[in-house]
Amino acid sequence: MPELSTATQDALVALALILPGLVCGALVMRGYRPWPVIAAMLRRAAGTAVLFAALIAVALALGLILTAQERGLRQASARAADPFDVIVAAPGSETTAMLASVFLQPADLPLLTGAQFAEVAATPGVTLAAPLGFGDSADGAPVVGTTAAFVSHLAGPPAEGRPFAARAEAVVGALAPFAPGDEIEPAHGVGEAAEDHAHEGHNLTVVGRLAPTGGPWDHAVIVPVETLWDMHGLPDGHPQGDADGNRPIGPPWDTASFPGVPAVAVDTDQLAAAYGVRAALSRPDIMAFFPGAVLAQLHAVLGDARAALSVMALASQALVTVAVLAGLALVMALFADQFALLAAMGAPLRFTLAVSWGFAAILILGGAALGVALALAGMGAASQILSERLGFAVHARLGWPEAHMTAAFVTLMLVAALVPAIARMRGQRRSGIA
Amino acid sequence: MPVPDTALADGVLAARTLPDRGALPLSVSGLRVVAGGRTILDVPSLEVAAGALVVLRGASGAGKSTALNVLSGNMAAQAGRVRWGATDIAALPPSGRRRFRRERLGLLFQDYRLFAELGALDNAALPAAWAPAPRRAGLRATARASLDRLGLADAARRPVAVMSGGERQRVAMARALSTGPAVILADEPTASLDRENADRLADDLALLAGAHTLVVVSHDPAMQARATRLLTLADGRIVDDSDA
Amino acid sequence: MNRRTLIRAFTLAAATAPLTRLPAFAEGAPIKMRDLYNKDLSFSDLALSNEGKRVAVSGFMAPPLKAESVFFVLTKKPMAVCPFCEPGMPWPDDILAIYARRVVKVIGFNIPIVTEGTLELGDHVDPDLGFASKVRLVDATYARA
Repeated sequence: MPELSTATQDALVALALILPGLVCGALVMRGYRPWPVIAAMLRRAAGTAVLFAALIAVALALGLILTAQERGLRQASARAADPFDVIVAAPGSETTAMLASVFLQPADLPLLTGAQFAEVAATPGVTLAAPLGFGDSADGAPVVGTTAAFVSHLAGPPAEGRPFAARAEAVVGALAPFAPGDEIEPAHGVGEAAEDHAHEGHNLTVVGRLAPTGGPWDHAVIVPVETLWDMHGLPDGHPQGDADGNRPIGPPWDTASFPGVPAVAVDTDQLAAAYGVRAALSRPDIMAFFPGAVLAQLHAVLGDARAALSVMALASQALVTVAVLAGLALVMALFADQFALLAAMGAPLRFTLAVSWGFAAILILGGAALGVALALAGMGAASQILSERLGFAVHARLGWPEAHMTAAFVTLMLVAALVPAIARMRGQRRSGIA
Repeated sequence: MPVPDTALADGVLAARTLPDRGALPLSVSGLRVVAGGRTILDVPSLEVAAGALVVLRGASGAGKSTALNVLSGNMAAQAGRVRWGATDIAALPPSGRRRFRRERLGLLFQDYRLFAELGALDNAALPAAWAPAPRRAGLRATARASLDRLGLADAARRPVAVMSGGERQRVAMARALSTGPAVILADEPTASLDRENADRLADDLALLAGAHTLVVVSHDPAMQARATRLLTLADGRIVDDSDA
Repeated sequence: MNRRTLIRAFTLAAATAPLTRLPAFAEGAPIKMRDLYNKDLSFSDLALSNEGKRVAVSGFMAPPLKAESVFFVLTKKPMAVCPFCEPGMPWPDDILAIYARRVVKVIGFNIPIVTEGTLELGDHVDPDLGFASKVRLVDATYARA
């Protein structure tokens, strides 16, 4: 049906999934009004009913949160990689280089030389080539060296203050634990291995705070790349002889005194240019790749993991289904007197089916509704935990895939509930009145 | 007091197409029920007039419950005929006997068998839960009228759980009458009640005779006193049959 | 979604289902990408006559630039970083920009696919990605050939 919008398609799929359950219900209930009897039974077994509905709800909610968070994670990581069209690095692992530059994960990357950087910057189609330097930290926040132009490409103009204009200045990401005006003493390395005071005398002043991007750079302290080179006692790509107090930052750099960078972020203006740059810079001594493509590969792997997780979620839902239906069979046994009465009064066999199935259906529908509510309530908390763990903002929401999962789950359970209900109906064929 | 709901019940019954209307006569012949190799009921012949109030008595194990179960079609007989009017329920399949019960039969039990969680009216109109849609409203109206007549007009919404035994058995009676049955079968209906309520129920049951054929298993002398016919069972046989 | 919308969707589906069979290329073999262009890289008559219609085009999915996007590039030949490709070779102009109906599920760059979508001609700059394209298939679906 290519004419229908995707939302209509999704809605139709959801409808198709829920329909068998509803049809099953309509066939069982047709012509009867068993609700007073079912209400009486529910009131009698209220505790058990609530417990079963809660079991169903939790099983469903876990599945919903799992799939929604996985999708949210993929979308959030894709958003984080969005500003990076092409990344150029020394040959090695694309994944490592991508994780280091987009997600600021500590990595030991080989360096590109000044000559290589100059070639990258001069490649046709390249509108922005920014060196990225990593490896230091301040109070646990990664310190990244790059150019003011790239910072503006990444996050636009600062939300507070101004871009850095000198080597002793830094801008911080929206979620970094610093504010404009703060003094920062960077440490060498990251995390447990960070050596405090290794960069004594290289204090930084925060001059600006960036708008949130949703990416890991929101936690970073961003400095001119020359500052990083200075801190490590390297040449800085600018010919010697400038006055010490006001040494330049940013391009162009002198090829001979360029100390090397682990990665270069490249921006292009044309689709063809992006592919062209990647083709031109894929050489034995240089590696160029689309972080988006690498991420898509990782997502494909993640997708396999998700498929496995979905199977496990479905399996746990199926287990809950079996457990609940087995439990229902026992609960129904508690109502043997009521069913015997119905039989004695001559209630049709299908009516007893309607009663026991309707009882299960109430628990299933109530449990499913509660499960969706639980998932809605838990979604924010799960997103927050995930965001804190990952360092980038995950905003998971329930979508059509979850609607489909709910519909499939409800239909599966409604149809499966026929089994104990039919067993109960069979058991009713013989019973006396006295 | 006449039976004021008969007209209503007749109106309700008119919605169906049944061969018999009003009270039905009972005709049993060659009836034999065997369980575990032992004959537990053996009635060569029994004729009961339409509208009679038959009280069935006998020692425990005499076959009273079996008799009620066979007369209601809840239990199949190995041999014989059990004819209510023109219908031989012993010849019907289980589904046919179910249908006969829900359309022609009202039942009363020693322990009322109500849904304690429901109100009096929902209990009295229980058959509306499975009755065909056109009959539901009439059925509820009949149930409400019966409750009114049995002195439970204000109790329609009260949960049965808070009612006395006497009130509960009257709710059960309203339920038995709600479908406008031809036959009412009762199993020790007064046994759980105090004397006053037992007498009142026996009076109410006696009033139903004429419009309905009643078979009541009872040891209650007050109930027996109101019978038009008293049958005594022993070892599955009718050993005494006396018109009151 | 309310019932009326749903009924309308069903009616629409039923009413338009036969129509989708009508366009020239929906039934037959998919169009080859080179058939969209003349030798001088202007649009061919075939392309012009199918503008705004749904067509199926065969090709390969280039490794997508962005993850979780609806956009990808359909190439004539399998495209990847290959040691045999000449460095600096200009990106061929006869590529097709595809805007898929749903987020793209990546298919290997060397697996032939058929993409069906509404053909759009003329220069267009993607407002999100900032990329310019001359030919596009929009509202597209795709599958392995």
